[in-house]
This record gives sequence, C-alpha cells and structure tokens, in this order.
Amino acid sequence: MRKRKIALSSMKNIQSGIVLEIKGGGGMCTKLESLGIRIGSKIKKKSALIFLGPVIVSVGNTEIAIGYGMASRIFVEVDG
Amino acid sequence: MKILLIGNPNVGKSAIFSHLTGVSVTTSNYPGTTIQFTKGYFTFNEQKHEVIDVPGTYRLNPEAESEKVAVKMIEYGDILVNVIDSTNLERNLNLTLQLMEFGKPMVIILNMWDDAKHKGIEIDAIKLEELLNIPVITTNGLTGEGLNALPEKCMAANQIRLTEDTLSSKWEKIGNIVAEVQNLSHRHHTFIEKLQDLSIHPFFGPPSALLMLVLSFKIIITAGEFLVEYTAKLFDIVYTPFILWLSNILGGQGLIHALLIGEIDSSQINYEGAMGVLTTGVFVALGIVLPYIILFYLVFGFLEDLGYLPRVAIILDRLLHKIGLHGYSIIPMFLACGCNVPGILAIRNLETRRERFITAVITCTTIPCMAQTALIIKAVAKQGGVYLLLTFVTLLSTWAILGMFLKEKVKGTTPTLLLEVPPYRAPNIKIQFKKLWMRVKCFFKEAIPYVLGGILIIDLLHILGVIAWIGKLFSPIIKGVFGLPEDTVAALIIGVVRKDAAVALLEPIGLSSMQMVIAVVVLTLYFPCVATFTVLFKELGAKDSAKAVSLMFIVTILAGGGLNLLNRIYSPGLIIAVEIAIVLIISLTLPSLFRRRT
Repeated sequence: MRKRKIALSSMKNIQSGIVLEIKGGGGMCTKLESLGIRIGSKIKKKSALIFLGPVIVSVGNTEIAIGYGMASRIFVEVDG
Repeated sequence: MKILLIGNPNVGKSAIFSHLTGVSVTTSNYPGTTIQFTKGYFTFNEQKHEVIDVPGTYRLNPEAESEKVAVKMIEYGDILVNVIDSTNLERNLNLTLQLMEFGKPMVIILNMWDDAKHKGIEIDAIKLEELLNIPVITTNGLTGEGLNALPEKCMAANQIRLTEDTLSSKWEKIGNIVAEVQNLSHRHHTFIEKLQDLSIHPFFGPPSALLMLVLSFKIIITAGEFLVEYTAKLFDIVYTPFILWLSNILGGQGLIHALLIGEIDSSQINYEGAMGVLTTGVFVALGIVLPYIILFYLVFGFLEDLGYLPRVAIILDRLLHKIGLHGYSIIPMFLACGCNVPGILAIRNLETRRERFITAVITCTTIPCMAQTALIIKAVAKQGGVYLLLTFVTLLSTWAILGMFLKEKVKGTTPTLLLEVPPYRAPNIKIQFKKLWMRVKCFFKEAIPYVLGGILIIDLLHILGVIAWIGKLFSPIIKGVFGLPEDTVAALIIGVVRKDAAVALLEPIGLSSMQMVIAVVVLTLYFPCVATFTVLFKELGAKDSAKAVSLMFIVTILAGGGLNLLNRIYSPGLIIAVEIAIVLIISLTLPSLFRRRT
C-alpha cells in the first residue's frame, strides 16, 4: 500500500498512522513528547470537533485532545 | 523519613496520600488540580514519617512552575515513591527514568491495577522489579488495596545509580522494558467507552454537554428552591419562638434589639426584611445560601471525579478562543459559580499571564457565586421569570463582550489546547462526602462570619446616618445612571464585604422589577467581595489588580446605565433580544476594528 504524509488535522476519523515530523519549537515538542506523541509513535485519530475544534487522538492507552493549530503541524504517515 | 509521592498527573497520588495519612485531600479526576503540594504524617513501627504529595508532572525539565517545585522537593526528600498509572505504563516510565537519575532510594507503585486488568493490560510486576532494580507494588488507589505493602518496601529500598542516557536511547530503553513486562489482550469496546466517545463526539458532543450543563443547573436550582421553602418552614417552627422570646427580654426596642433582631411583628417574623444579625443574618446564611452551596458542590464534585470536566473544556475550546482563552479556562469559571475564591485560585493552572489576567477579570467581574445566585433567584424570580432571564443574559453578555474586548487589548497569544482526556471513573462515595464536608466547613468558617458582620456593620452605619450621607454623595450615579433610589447605596456598601447579604438588603427598599434587575446586575459587576479581592490581589499583583478594578467600574456604569436606558424604550423580553444582538454584532466586527488600527 502507498504511504502518504499528511497533517494530523487532515486525517480521517479512525485512521491510524506513525508520527513522522513535528513542526514546532522545543516547547511544543517536549509537551507532546511527555504525553506520548513523538516521532515514531503510533497515533490513531478518533474524531475532530466541528468548526476547526480540537482533534481527539489516542496514543497507546491515552486519549488526548489537541488544538487544531497544533494538530496541523504534526505530520503522520498513513496507508493509502 | 521524608517520603515523596511523585508521578504523572491524574494517576491517583492524592487518593493514596489520603489513605496513608488520613488527612483529607481533595482528589479530582483532571490533571493539574493538586497545584499546591500537601504534607501529612504516616506512622509505621511507632515512627512518624513525613509524606508529601508532589504536584503531578510528566517530566522534570525545569520549564514549568510545577516541575521546578517537583525538583526542589525531590532534593528535599529521602525516598521517592513513584506512582504509576498501570494503564499507561510506557508514558509513565519516562518520569521514572528521570527520577532514577537523582540516585535516591525509590519504590514504584503500579496504581489503578484493577483498571488495567479491565482493559486487558497485564504487567509482570516482578519482572519490572528485576529490570529496574526497584521494589514494585500493585495497588488500587481508590480503595487502598495493596497499600499495606508499602512501608516494608520503603524500608528495604536501596539507592540506585542510573547512567544518563540520551533522549532517544531513553525511549528505546522504555520500549524494551514495556515489551518485556507488558502484555495486552483484546477486549470489546465497553458501554462506558461508548459513552466516553459520545461526550466528545463532533456532532453529539456539544449538545450533550449543553444538556449536562442545563441539567446540572436545573437540579441545583430546583432542589435549592425546594430546600429553601423547607428551611423557611423549619425556621418558623424552631427558630421563631427563640427570637420572639429574645425580643421580649430586650423589651422590644433599643439599640441591641435593632442590631440583633431588627424590625419584626409581634407574632410573625419576615426573615428577609427584618435586618437583624440574628434574624436576616442567620437566615440568609443557613436558610438560603447553605442549601445551594451543598447542592452545587455535590453536583460539581461528582462531575469532577467522574472526569467530565475536561470534556467540556474540549467542546468549548473553539468558542473560548473568541475571548482569548482556551478550553481549560472553563474550569476556574465553573468553580467560580460555586465560590469565586477557589475559581481565582484555579487560575494558577493556566499557562500564560494573558490567559490568567483575562480569566481572572471576567470571572470576578461577571460570574456570581452560588450564594449570590441563590439570593438573586429569590429576589428576582418573584418579579417574573423574564426578569430572572434578563439578569443572567445581561451578565452573560457582559462576560462575552468584556472577554472579546480583553482578547484584543491584552498583549500575548492564546496557547493551543493540549489536554489528556481521562476515562470516566466512578466517583468513590466516601471521597465525595469528604470533599463536600471540607467545602461546606470552609463555607462556615469563611463566609458566615462575613454575612453576620456585614449586616451588623450596615445596621450601625444606618443608625449613625452614614448610609444616608454616602447615598447623597453617590446619588447622581445611583439615581441618574442606574435609575435606583438612594437607599440602594446600603446594599452597595455591604456588597464589598459579602454579596449575598447585599442582595438580601435590596428586599426592604421596595424596588420595581426592572430596578431589581439593574440593582442585582450592578451588585455583581462593580467589585468582587472582599474575600475574592484578597485572592485576586495575591494572584495578579498590584498593577494588574488595579487595572482589573478600573475595568469593573467602567463595565458597571455601561451595563447598569445601558439597562436603565434600554428600559425606557423596550420591554424586558426585547432587551434580552437586543443584548444578544449586540454580542453577535461585536463578535463579528470587533476583530476587524482592531486590526485596522495596526
């Protein structure tokens, strides 16, 4: 299957992927990392709230809500 | 020995602390609530040991306040008890490895052990102990199961030395540990999980949150009204005879009588109008406010421990961005609905100065505490439902407009939401009641003396004629701008001390329905109660507090004056519509207005 790189905010619901790149400063990266989101982690998008609201993802056994702005700067490799 | 409980937020440290020390600590199910550390003592083998509940932290790089505090405490402590959420082993181990670098004796508690089992997560605790060379115990923090193994393990703990790894090798290490130790088995999506997903579903989330909010407030208000009727009857049966007897003894007149009992009939007592410390004071505090306070904290405590509040924060995030805040600020504002003081204290959880300032200002300006709300309902509802609605719509509109204005004016940016969504956890009844008890006790100690004192001061000032004099001084504003009679100034003076007593003071003046609405709105907006102001001053500092207070005065004049003006043209129902229209217009035009300037 082809692999694509898309932003977390563009992922479809229930789609899974592996984090490839985080376009953010040190602060943003450390915050994300401490919640379990770093390059190489498997991430699954659960839903996103309408009107560009926060994106809900699950990483491991945790559910995390990420604001739309931040979610559009996390890039994930997905299948197909 | 100094024992430190340290771990990620929301792993159950506070519940464990509570079991170890027997000191009540409020536990809540959203990260970041234990903002101050708590200390207690725990006796084992006839020796007293100090236990400290360190604020939850994900890591120890000293960027955030809570992490700096955590590092200081680690240096102070003798043993580090690392509490780990067994359902999130991998992430929790990040902190564990960082803690090991300090070289202090450690014990690991795998908490939420039964939750993990429910999720099909099996962890080989013995293997973990071998790999890390740290004693490991498994516990259920809520029930306390497994905790009695802790003392022995603490005594047996050794010092550890861990070589410093680079970041990537640390995660590799964690990955390896987890692979060796953890085993996941598949389970079906449970009903609870379906409910959890529903609460933040893109379509069902917002309406379900709205439903929950409306339901919560409806419960509080309906049950409150019912209870208050009941307490009024109780007062008539039990308390009135005592007051009448006292009145007799005092001869039915005189200074003491006026202060303590106020104006009463020979056989009946109108508790709201009497204005005596023992009559109005006691009735307002115990008969009106206390029922609402209990109900509010029952509902709030339940939602807190259930884990519902972060979901509301997520749903409201986008909306709150319009006033320069992000979803998490809704929590201080909710707390403020009970009492403004914990609301302002909770602002410490917000990241930037801008957020803290905006939240603090709009909270203590426009959000009435439960005590105040209770009295507002009592005073305004009898004028008619539409007036009550108008009061709250006015306050809400002011909240929105002030927020939108501050968003443009206050320097800085709004941080993006990044929040862990905790799973639903059934609240523990014992802990719920402990929390409720603590909060009600706090109300007794902090609020009631002020209510009684407030009525006393007002009575004295009234007798001395001071009230009349101040009334004349401010009458241009009170009469001219707000359209209220001079006597209202007594309520405004007491409103600085205590808002609920102030609303009660409006009763004997005999205001028209609209005047009542204006008076109540002005009382809410113009200044916080002295307890809130003290905390605000400590949190914001002198300069920002001064800015906040001046904003409050401006807002009061505009809102009170505005209502007075609109009253001459429109009926209350139409005023509501006008206010909503104003909020919408401002929300659409304000950003472009400010952008053109720069």
